[in-house]
Amino acid sequence: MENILAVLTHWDDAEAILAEAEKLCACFHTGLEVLVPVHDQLGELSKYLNLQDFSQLQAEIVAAERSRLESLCAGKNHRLHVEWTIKVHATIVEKAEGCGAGLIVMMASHDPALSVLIHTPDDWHLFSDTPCPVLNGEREKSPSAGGSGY
Amino acid sequence: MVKERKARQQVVAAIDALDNQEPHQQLTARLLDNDAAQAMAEGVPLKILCVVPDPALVYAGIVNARMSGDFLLDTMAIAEKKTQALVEHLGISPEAIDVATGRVEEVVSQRALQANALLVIGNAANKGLKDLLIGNTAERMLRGMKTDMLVVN
Repeated sequence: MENILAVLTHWDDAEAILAEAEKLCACFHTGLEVLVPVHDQLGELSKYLNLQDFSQLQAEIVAAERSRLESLCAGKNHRLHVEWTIKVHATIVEKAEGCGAGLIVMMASHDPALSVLIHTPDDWHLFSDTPCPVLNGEREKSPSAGGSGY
Repeated sequence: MVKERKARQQVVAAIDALDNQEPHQQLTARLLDNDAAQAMAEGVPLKILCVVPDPALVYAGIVNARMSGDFLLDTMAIAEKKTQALVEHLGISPEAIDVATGRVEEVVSQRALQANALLVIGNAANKGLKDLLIGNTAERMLRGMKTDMLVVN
């Protein structure tokens, strides 16, 4: 195992995921890559909405997320990635393959019931396509915890 | 994996020792490798759990009659023997091998929760219509997830 890929899908859980990944990196003597996938909520619709400043908006969101990630990982020698994506699971798989990750550490997405009914939840796609094991953390239930963080 | 989380006390690998298909056995071997590595990394005991689905529960109908006890006990004995052989073959030293029966996802989730364990499971994805209608055990466990889970495929 060369690297461990920590995927931060919710800032609420980011510290816990990072701590878990760092602990495992120390045990397995590997490097740590940290990925923040920024889900394009509009997806294909953004092409049709004629949002003139969409690319600028996109760049600003990515910059804000990167800044937050950098402050979270300040003073640590992790490789940081912030990716704008329509399909989060595909981006995670791509990044895991690209960095030779032997393990993905992330929080379970807990999709809402309607989402489960209508389409296959994101975690399941990830399990099917992942090149390495996935450590899924259980999210503590809270009143504000709702759907997928993707 | 939240800030106030209690330390894990065990790593539990849930396997299906009764499936003789080559791809499934390879998956089980990968699962146990990961399981042993995680237990070593966390410095906690390793336990192997094999749940034999109770046919009476799987095929429950109007009359939920339990299958013959002998049949179930025989199947559990075979599962234990196969798990033991697998462990010896892979050179793993678990603290315990536990063979149980019931609804697989329920038993596995409960045992992992009781031990505040990291649950290690394999994901043998079903394909096509079976995937659409049934999914697989890993997916059903994820729905009712109560502990951290390491999914190996």
